[in-house]
Formats: sequence, structure tokens, C-alpha cells
Amino acid sequence: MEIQETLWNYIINETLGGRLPEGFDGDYDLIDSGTLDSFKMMNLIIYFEQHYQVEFGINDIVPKHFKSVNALVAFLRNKLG
Amino acid sequence: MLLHSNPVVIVGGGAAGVSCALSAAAQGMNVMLLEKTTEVGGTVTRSLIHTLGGLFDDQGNFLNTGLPVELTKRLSRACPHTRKRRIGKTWVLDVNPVVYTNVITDWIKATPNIDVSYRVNIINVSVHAEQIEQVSVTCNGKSRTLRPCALVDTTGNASIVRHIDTELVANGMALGGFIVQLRGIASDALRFPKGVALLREIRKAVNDHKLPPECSTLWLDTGVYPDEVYVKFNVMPEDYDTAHMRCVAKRLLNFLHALPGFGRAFINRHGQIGTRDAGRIKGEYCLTETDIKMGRRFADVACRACWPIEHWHPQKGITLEYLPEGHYYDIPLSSMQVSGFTNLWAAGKCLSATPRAQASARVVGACWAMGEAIGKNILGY
Ligand SMILES: Cc1cc2nc3c(=O)[nH]c(=O)nc-3n(C[C@H](O)[C@H](O)[C@H](O)COP(=O)(O)OP(=O)(O)OC[C@H]3O[C@@H](n4cnc5c(N)ncnc54)[C@H](O)[C@@H]3O)c2cc1C
Repeated sequence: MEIQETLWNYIINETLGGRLPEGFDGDYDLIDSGTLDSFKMMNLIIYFEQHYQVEFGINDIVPKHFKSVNALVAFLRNKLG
Repeated sequence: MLLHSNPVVIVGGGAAGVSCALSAAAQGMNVMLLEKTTEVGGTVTRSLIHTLGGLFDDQGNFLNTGLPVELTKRLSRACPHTRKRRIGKTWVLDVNPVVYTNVITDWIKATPNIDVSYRVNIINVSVHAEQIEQVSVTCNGKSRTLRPCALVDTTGNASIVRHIDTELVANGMALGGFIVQLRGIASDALRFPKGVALLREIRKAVNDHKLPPECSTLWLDTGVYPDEVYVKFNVMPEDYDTAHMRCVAKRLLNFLHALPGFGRAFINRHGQIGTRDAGRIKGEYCLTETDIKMGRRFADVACRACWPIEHWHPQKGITLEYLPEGHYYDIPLSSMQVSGFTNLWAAGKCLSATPRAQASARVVGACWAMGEAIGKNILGY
């Protein structure tokens, strides 16, 4: 599956528990809205590390990579080369 | 015959017990608060709980009036570092557990009609016709027999109800925690999402056998002071070994010393093991996950709650399920009235609830609100 689709599915089902907040789109601020708290971010990282066999280092885990679904897609594409 | 001039006996001086004592005393009742250790404060004090949940709704407004609000005011007055903080979709009150303990100790002392006894052992509870008649205790080696008008079990493990009938208690089903307070850390070392990155490093080190396996599920949190971090280890209460866990904490500290911001970190305090679910009573009503998710309202409402379902499953680890925006549910008085009794109650984390319902209802703010409601309704319910 495309990264974008995998990520959308993960965020909608796991992070948001299937409930889309009003105005949710690819630029929706996952951090300011409190959607991606530490627990959910940790789970997301573990999921992607296992799913794509990548490792997230200290410099990968920064707000700009996790700010929105679009930011995450761009970051993951970049990371996977 | 049990007279209302007889004392209300509250066993256990944690969040629920202290608030129940304050509330019953405010109704003019004579209160005896019996604590087995040498201080009040319970889990918050001894296990170093530093983020009080259950005081606020998801907008940061107080969920309940009364003692939880007064507690927040007193904690803020006592320490300028006490502060309200948003974590994900929830709001908590960051506190120093030592300040919390001092505040409630002074509050109890200054309240007329509360007689607190420490180092108390409950020897026997006698029951007649669905009522508690007598409670036999020893306190500092001396025996006493009390004839309470009502008995409230706020032991956190339902140990008084267990005394009466083990069938009236469902066994606990959650991971416990061992919390260590570190100081000497650079002020923004955990600023979101740096804490997540640090956790990732710790987990990698466990996989590479540089850290012991106990570190694989630990969690890090900021405290009230800029140089403070709390480390929370998950432990099964049955397997817990203090000396071993202190050793694990020391190894973690050595590992952290090499990471940015942690060069001067030191262990300031070790908490005692805390048990999230040490048993829940069988009440007239058992609060369920569905009640919580549906935002159920009850005619006999004691208080409101809205903490996510934060379940620390013994095998599967933690899951956090947020409730919908703006959502809250009622905790009914009947979930704190022990089934089949007219004057026996249990408040706090040992209320009558399913394991996942308790995983939301047990937070400190909710325990305060539950205790207060019992204190108000103890005779008139
Ligand atoms: C590791 C861990 C982390 C947590 N983190 C948070 C958090 O971040 N935020 C939050 O809001 N909540 C948190 N909680 C939950 C919360 O701390 C507890 O659910 C709450 O404090 C329970 O309050 P209580 O009054 O029901 O019981 P307790 O605070 O446990 O009080 C029970 C009291 O009864 C006394 N007692 C026990 N048996 C007897 C007896 N036989 N005779 C006399 N006295 C007795 C005990 O000594 C104790 O003082 C956490 C819990 C744990 C274990």
C-alpha cells in the first residue's frame, strides 16, 4: 500500500479511534490539536518502524515531521528514499 | 441501635479518604480517619504521583465543584510551581507530591471534628442485619472498638470489605508502577516531542542489551520544577522487588547521563510501588465501559468524570482511549455503596466498576470528588 494510504488509515483508525474531528484534512495540526500526544506518537513510530523496517533516530522525532499527515507523508517518503 | 452521634469511620487516608473526611466533617459529623501508615496522602504521596487527573474537563474547566476546586486552590497557593497543563486531549494539575502531602495534612489538622489515627490495624468488622455494627482496631498496639454510624472503605484495595466477605471484592487487573524522581536535568530536555525521541533511544538500548528489560516499557514525564523528570516503570505488583528496581533505576540513570540534557541528572526520590487496581468492590451498581462511553447520567449522581480509559493491561500494556470531545459521565453513589449493606461504602479506586471503567474513574480528581459525595450523602442517601 502507498505510504499515504497506510498513514491515513493508521491515523484515522488508531490515532483518532475512527472519529474524524471537524475540518480534518492533510494539513490538520496533529500536535496543536492534541491529537498526537506522546503515547500516540510512540505507537505510530513503533508501527512505522515495524511496517517499513526503518529506524527513527533522535533527529527524526521533531515537531515539523509530525505536524500533519502531509508532513508525515513527506518525511516518511524522504526517509525511505 | 446506631446513633448519628456515632462517628463516621473512614479507613484509608488517600485522596478519597481525606476528601470524604473533610466533607463529612463539614456536615457536622464526627469523623474518625484511620490510616495504616504514618501519613495521609496514599498513592499520590507514596508513589510520587505528580499529575493530578480528573479535576478538569477537556476544555480545562473544573468538572466538579467543591473540594477538588478547593484542593487546586490550596495546592496553587502553597507552591508557585503548581500548574495546570494540557497533556494530549486532557488537562492535569502538575504538583509536587511533597507539597500535596503537606497541604492535605494541614487541611485535615485545621478541620474540626476529624480525629486521625495512624498505624492502625483493622482486626475485625462485625455485621448485623445489613449494617456494620462494630469495628475492632489496634492503634500503636492498643485495642479499641468503634461503633460507627457508617463505615467507608477508602483503602484503595477494598481491604475492609474483603474483611467482611472476600466475595464482595473483584480482584485487581492492571499493571502497577514504580516512579523515580530525577533532578539536575536541562530545562527543555523533554519538551514535546523530545521525550518521545528519548524513549525511543531507551527502547533501542534495551533491544541492544545495554539496558535491562524493565526499561522497555518505562515512561518519562516532566515535573513541576524545570530540572525535574519522573521515570515511571511498569511492574506487576506480585513480582515487584524494591532492591532490584532501584538497581534498574541506577542503570538507567547511568545510560541517561550520556544523552543531551541529562549529564548532571541524579535520583532525588524513589517512590514506593503503586497499584492502579488493587481490587474493586461489588456495589449496588457496577459502573461499566458502556456507561463511560455513552456519557451515562444517573439519578443518584455523585460526581462527574471524563478521563480517557487508560488501561494498563497486565499482559498487553497500556492503551489509552479518549472519550468524545466535550463528553463526561456520572459516577453514581450506588457504585460506591457495598451491595447488601445500608451503612458500608467504598470510594476511590476501589469503587464498583469493571476493570476498564475503573481505568477511567480512578484518577485523583475523581477520587476526591467521590469521597466528597460520600461524605455529603452518608446518612441521607
Ligand atoms: C503508578 C501509578 C501512576 C498513576 N498515575 C496517575 C496520574 O498520573 N494521575 C492521576 O490522577 N492518577 C494516577 N494514578 C491513579 C491514582 O493515583 C489513584 O487511583 C488514586 O490516588 C487512588 O486514591 P485512593 O484514595 O482511592 O487510594 P490510595 O491513595 O491508595 O489511598 C489508600 C490509603 O489507604 C491506606 N490503607 C490501605 N489499607 C489500609 C488498612 N487496612 N487500614 C488502614 N489504612 C489502609 C493506605 O495506606 C493509603 O493511605 C496512578 C496510580 C499508579 C499506581
